Amino acid sequence: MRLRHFGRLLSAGLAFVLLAALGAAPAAAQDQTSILNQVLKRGTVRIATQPGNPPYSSMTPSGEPEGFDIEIGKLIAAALKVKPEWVTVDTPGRITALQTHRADLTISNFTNNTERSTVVAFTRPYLVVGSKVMVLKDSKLQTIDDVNDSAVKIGISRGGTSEQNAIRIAPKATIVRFDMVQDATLALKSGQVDVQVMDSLLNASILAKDNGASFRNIPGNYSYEEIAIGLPAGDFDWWRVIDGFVRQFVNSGDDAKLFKKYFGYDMPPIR
Amino acid sequence: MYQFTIEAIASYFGKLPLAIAHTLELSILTILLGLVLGIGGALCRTSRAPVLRLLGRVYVELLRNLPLLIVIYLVYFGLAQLGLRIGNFESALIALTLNTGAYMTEVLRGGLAAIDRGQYLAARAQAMSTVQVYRYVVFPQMFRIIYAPLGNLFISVVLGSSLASVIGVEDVMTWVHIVGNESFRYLEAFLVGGAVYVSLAQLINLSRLLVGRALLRHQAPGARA
Repeated sequence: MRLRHFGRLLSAGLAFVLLAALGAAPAAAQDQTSILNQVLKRGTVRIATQPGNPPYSSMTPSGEPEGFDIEIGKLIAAALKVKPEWVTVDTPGRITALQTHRADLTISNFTNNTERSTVVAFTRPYLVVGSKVMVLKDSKLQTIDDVNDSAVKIGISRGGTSEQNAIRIAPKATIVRFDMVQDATLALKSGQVDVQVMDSLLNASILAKDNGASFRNIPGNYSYEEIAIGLPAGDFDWWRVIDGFVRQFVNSGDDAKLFKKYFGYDMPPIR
Repeated sequence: MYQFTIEAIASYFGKLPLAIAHTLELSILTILLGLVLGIGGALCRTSRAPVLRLLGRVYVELLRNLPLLIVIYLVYFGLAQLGLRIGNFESALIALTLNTGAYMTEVLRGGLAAIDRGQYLAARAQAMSTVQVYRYVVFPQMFRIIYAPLGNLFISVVLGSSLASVIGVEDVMTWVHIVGNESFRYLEAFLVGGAVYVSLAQLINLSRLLVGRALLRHQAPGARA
């Protein structure tokens, strides 16, 4: 009996090692030529996107992706004369999809920072945002000092920059991690957390929709974040083409026009 | 190309024992409470009172056909919106227990149904009381029948407990996410997390085997204690 049990454990372990080997193999094979050539040859560009992150990206009831980031993806595909293929990811999946070559690009409210730059590549920014600290309208919390207390629960979506921002803004507070931004907002609304730390534009669109009914902000802006398109690291040709696209997209004013369409107000300047 | 190195996440292993403790705590409590709920459910489902039978049936069909994730969301977010705020660990425990209890009900009911009516009658004919009938005749035979399906159920509890991470319970799955987010070594984190879950499931299974063997030896076939 005991031996049979050991055998089962061993076979489970072996299956794991096999799985690991399988996971590593395709990545090696794909790296032979530039992603640029692969995309042109394939006729599709695979773009990682998050479904639950409006107005950047979300899903229509019929399952079609829509939003500011989705429009940018469609423009890139049109410029390359290929079709966009959407790869649905969650917040951390934006990085893994690039690392494992499941996606050629990540266009998903993706902040360029030094840490991430060590594992994936970024274009220049097409948007610059900050961080906001949101509470319920009738909350007792008034200042950032009130928030920095171990009794205060801060809801964030894990894998995003809001996690590091929350720890930096209020190191004493208790962090509760959720899978999606919407879950953190739901937790705030239902009283399971006291505060939500989030990016300033998402915050602005939530407050605009809410129209003072349930939320307000703690005054102040708490970060400077460059939103850019992510690419797998180490592929200069692919980066050159996509970065060129972003340069023209921003400077032609198309960026600001698209922004206004989805966010409903003028785009903050890119410094 | 992706360079696979476990050493890259070595600095996070110190936080793993606490995460494992939380996963084990959640799993074991769920199994114990689920057993209690399952016994109640199975007695309802086999009861002579139609109201109890209906109640048991509605519970099982509802909870068995609801995704566990939805039950977790309902307990954590849904009840909170109605003003009943339950902490994230407790919410996960309640949701997992409700889900497990439904499956446990069916496993136990199956065990009860497999005991022939003649066994009850024969035991009664030996002048046994109701408690004695269950203690010496029904339960020992039932235990043999439900022994294997219970193993499946226990493993699915351990694996299902990973869903608690969506409401921020600091379990093994949350450890995996934190390691991935901070080190960007997601593949390594997933594999280590996976290996931990395999080991925990096997650990629970091994305890079931040991407990079962001890009990079955004690209750050998035909033995009268």
